[in-house]
Amino acid sequence: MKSWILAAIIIVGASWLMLPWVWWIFALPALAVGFAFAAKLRYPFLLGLCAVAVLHLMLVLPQSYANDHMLLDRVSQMFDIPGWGLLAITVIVPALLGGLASWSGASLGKAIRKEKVK
Amino acid sequence: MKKTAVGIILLCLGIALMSKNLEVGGNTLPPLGQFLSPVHGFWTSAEAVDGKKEITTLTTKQLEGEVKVLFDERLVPHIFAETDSDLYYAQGYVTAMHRLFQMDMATRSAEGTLSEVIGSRTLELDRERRNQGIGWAAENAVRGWKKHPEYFALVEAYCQGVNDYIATLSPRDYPLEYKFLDFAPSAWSPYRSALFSKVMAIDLAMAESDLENSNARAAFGKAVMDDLMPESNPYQSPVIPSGTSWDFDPIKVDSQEVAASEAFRRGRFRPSPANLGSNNWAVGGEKTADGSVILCSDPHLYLTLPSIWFEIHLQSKEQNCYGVSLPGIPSVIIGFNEDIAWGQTNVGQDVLDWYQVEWVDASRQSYRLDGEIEPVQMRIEEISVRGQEAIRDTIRYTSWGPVMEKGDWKDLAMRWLVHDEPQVCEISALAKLNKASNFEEYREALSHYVAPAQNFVFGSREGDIAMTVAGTLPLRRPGQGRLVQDGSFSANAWPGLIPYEHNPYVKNPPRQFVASANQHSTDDSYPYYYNAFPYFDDYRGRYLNQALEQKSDITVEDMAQLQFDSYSLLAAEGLPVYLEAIAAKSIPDSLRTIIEILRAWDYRYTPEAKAPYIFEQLHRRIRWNAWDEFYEVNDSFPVSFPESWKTIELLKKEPGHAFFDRQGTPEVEGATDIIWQAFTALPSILRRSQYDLEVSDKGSTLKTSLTHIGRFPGFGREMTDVTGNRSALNATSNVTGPSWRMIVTLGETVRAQVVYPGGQSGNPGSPYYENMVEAWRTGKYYSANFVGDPSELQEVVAELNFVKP
Repeated sequence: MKSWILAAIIIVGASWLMLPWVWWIFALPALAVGFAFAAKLRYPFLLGLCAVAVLHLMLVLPQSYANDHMLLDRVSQMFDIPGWGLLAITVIVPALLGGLASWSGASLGKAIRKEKVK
Repeated sequence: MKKTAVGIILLCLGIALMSKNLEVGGNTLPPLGQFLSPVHGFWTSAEAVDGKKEITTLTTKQLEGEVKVLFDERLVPHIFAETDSDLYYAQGYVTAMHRLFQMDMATRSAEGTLSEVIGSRTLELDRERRNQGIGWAAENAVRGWKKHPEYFALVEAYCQGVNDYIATLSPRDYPLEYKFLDFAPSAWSPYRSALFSKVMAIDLAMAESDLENSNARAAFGKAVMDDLMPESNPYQSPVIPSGTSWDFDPIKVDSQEVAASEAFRRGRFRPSPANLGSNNWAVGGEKTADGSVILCSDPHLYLTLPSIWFEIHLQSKEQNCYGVSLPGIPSVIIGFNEDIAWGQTNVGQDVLDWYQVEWVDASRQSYRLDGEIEPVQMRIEEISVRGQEAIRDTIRYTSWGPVMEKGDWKDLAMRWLVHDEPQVCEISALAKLNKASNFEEYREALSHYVAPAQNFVFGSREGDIAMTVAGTLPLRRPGQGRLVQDGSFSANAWPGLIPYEHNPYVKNPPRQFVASANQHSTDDSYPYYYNAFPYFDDYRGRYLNQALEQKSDITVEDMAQLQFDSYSLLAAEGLPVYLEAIAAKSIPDSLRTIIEILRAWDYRYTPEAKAPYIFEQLHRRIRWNAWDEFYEVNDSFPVSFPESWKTIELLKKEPGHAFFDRQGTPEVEGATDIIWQAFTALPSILRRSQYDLEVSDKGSTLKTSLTHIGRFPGFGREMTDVTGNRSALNATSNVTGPSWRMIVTLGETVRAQVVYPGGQSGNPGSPYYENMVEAWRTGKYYSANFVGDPSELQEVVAELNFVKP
């Protein structure tokens, strides 16, 4: 299956789960997809990373544009970092966790398959 | 399998780390995963700049009828309800919608519960508030309010509105400051509304200088005090014009003065109280171009984001009222209705006295009063501190009030009028004023007003103008309360309180205007003694009265100019004296430009002018040279200083005054010498402060900060190019200034021009957070949408309907 379809599954799953649940719930679909397609994934880390990054950009950018980046400016001043830095942290931190989740999922999947083969 | 385990452990660690409060460089960060989440964190506060109109309908059991709230183009809520109770319910609801964090912080800072959510950083402030008995005062207030159930029910309706709004919030909807500090809003109550009114009392009714006066008297003696620090200024032009007759029989007060210890020398206990001023005035129809009364009000308070004020329009079957409210208190505080308008300035009279307690022994468990031994009442204050164990402070209460627990004030008890249980439900004064339709109803409404004492200006469509010094004020013996008093005799207490009917007021004076700017309430003919040294204003009131006296055919534009007027009477009276003193001197090159700039000055504090900064330095240096004896004592014990008007008068009329001789110099200096010394010091003062006269566009150095209410960096705003000065009507300083400017024309219809430095929304992610600041800075106004019917509103950005189930 094409990687972008898998990424889309993670994105849709995560955005559906995030609203009622906690902020880190995106890790679950990332882990699940990694696990389910373990055999076919060459770069599971990259898949989760990209999917969660795209998810966060999709959620944040329209809000920030509609807001004229006013709040981005204020909160980045509060943290004493540039606006793009705050945006980067907002996206990269969860993306790394997403990558880690897919990678762990895939590695679990592979391990289980190996056990079965044995 | 090992790799998988490592991956999952890393993932869990990552999530756990991002869910914790992290300490970075002494600052506590919020749980970052949550805070940065686009769905749960601060991003949810990013409001669309051109948002679509939102219509919300809420079903509420609490209401008596249906309520409609329309937010206009500046997000001012226009509330249309059937009953007053519903009106105040909706006021509470919409105020919380936009100002919840501010309401929470303000009341926590008054009560002394900031540390519970912030941590040890605010502990000292909390302890001070506990020691001052602010929570105790609010408890007393609520006890008094409950005795008037009709009005107490209105307060409860307001609280219900606030709490119903809080109940709609899930953590992801909290204002972003809650997410940053990681705590939840707590329920509102009449007690917290009372705390908010104490916030105002802290800012407006705590000014006194008993300690500084006692120290000055101990250091220099009574004769010097009488000579240099007289309590009334002969040039003063009081709030209630001279010649007003007092239509009451004064209460007899014995004239025995309450003496204080001659050897009184103590260190500073707290910073000098705030010196906040305000202006208000009304001009009668004979003085205006179109014959209508015009009323103006601009209270000068701390400037914050969000602003202390929340603009609101309240309409029920019983009233149609518009103006500004305080977030936490039902009703409009300064505003107008279809018949009248009113404004407030601080009276500023001293209502806080210190009494020296005579302890029985070092344990401070009991004290002597009239020869008897009285036990103190202990009140245990438990202060929760985030991240550490709670702290317990024991506060001792005498019959005077709480005793200070800090520094060398451990025998001083605080007698503060604001602690007392009120005889009325305080909300009744403003609730009645909001619907008053004439002078008699205005006077009756103010008879319920308690604290902080305010000069209430009044104007009506019928053509009346008036000024009332409203609020409970102590009856004093002559001189009482100027110095720290002996607390071992109950006879040293205030002989009583001044009845409302004896408070000064004036209606339709012959001069056709009434005005106040925190100067003395009356001239010396008023039968009761009161004081506020050195907190009565000496310049704005005098300038305001002169300006209004001269004006005729007054228009709204004239009034707007006067509110923005940056002319300093202090500079206009001081600078010519200083320049005259050095007229005969030969001016060195280094001073030539400086003196040219000063000579050409029109005494206006405009952003382009260079003279204001130079004058400030010169004036300060001259005071320093003149009162060097005071500054020397002040290093060890804080003392009061002669006021500026007295300094200028003596420099002019008594150039050989003994105090002008500087200590530590062999020569005997007089006025001319110390003024000249100040001038010659100017080049190096300016150099040291890097003030370059050659840079042509550099004028005023005034920067005015609008500080965020939680002091979050990036959430406030710093303004340059600000017009104004403390001694001018446009009394803008670096942290205070005209917090609301209102001009009401009481003609055929009532129209109002309004502005404040801020915006209606308390959300830093809202386009309404500081949208009015620029208009305020440049002296512009908005027309208030004072409509009679919801359909008359031109632009509605949001609508909120409350319906019954």
